[in-house]
Amino acid sequence: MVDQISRETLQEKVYNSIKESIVTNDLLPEEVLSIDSLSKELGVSPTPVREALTRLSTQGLVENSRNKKAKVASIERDDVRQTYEVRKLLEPYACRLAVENLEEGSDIERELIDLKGKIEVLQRELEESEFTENGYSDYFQVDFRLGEYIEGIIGATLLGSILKLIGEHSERLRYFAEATGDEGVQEILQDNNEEHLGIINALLDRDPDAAESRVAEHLDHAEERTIAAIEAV
Amino acid sequence: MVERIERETLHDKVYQSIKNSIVRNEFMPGDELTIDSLASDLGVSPTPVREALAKLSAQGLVVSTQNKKARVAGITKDDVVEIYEVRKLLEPYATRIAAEEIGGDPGLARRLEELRDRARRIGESLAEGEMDEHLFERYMDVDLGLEDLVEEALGDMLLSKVLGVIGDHSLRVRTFTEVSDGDKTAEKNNEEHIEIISRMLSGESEEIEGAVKAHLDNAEERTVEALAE
Repeated sequence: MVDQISRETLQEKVYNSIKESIVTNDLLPEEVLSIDSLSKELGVSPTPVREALTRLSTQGLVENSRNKKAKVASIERDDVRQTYEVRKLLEPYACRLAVENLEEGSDIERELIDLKGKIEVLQRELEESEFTENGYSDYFQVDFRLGEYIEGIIGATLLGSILKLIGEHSERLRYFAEATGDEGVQEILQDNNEEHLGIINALLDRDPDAAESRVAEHLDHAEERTIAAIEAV
Repeated sequence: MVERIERETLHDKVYQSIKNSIVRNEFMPGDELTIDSLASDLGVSPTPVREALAKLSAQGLVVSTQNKKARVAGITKDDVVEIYEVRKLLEPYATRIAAEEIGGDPGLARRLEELRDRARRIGESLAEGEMDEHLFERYMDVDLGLEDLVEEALGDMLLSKVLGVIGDHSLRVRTFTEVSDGDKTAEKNNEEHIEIISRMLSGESEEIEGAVKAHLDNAEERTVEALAE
């Protein structure tokens, strides 16, 4: 019994580790996945690695055809377009709802104000080119939190579950531009920060029209940047 | 090992069966559910029934009243508005895209035409007489058939998965109106389905979206009315 449990946990760990690398774009689209190297890196036998790759291929994250080496699944322009299509249909509206449901003096309101402060600090750092590793991870946190807050404000609704589904589906695309760009990254971060600030201000000002249109614009730009990044890789 | 798997399958089946009855409005909002009667109807012990009800309660489909009883959760106007909001955001667009895909696939196009033929015959039957159980089945088959065809046409696009989630959530609300309102609702819905299918087949993009939006507006209104009765 104990042995069995250990084996499952190891299998899960290997799977999660490889998945994480793909989703954060540490492993790039179309990058070849060598079972040998992966098992050495992770310090395990090839079997759990092979199983993980099979599982990941059913989720569309890995291309694992016979007689060919396994590769990280490519990201097509079409994938990007489709994901943003759905997000553009839903998220501007979700943000409008969030404005209407944001309570005065609530915890969420306080957290949004905090977040605003964080972004302003990040912007200053970026302007002075003092951007550090920490700054980078703060940036991701801010973006992630903003999405979470909006989902939190919407609550346990059908729209909320769908936004979650979309979030899971598009994890890899989310930070693709940031993760893979070299030179343009600073500009991307700055632009995104500006747009996030605009959205938070619309929320705090209780302006549903601004919230909706700023999210729509933000998504348009994000789609453009992601497509540009894909074509650059 | 083998025993454990069998028990899980049984529990799952009990859960699915009760859930299905609720979603299809065979158990309607407000209906009382007794663990013992359900167990006896399903031919199982009370334990899997109790577990199923606990799970359904967590999903908001059932409300626990007493130790051995539960009630099917009510459907509120808010529930309806919420579902239709999301449907209106996605389905007009999704139907348009599906129509484009169907336009390029003779097999799918044929199936769409078949659906329209069936809907027309249902319309004729409804005009001649009252809705009975058999006619209702035929009607629901077309309704769900159209939904399935749209999802299939969209393939493995994200849009298709999202529609699947919405479909699961909205089935209860949808069948509630048909079940409690019967003829009136079904006849109008059926006509609107025919309209939508015709637009899809003729490929007029904007008109498709318009027809779907109008249908959803009307369906929402009818549902809210049915709730108020």
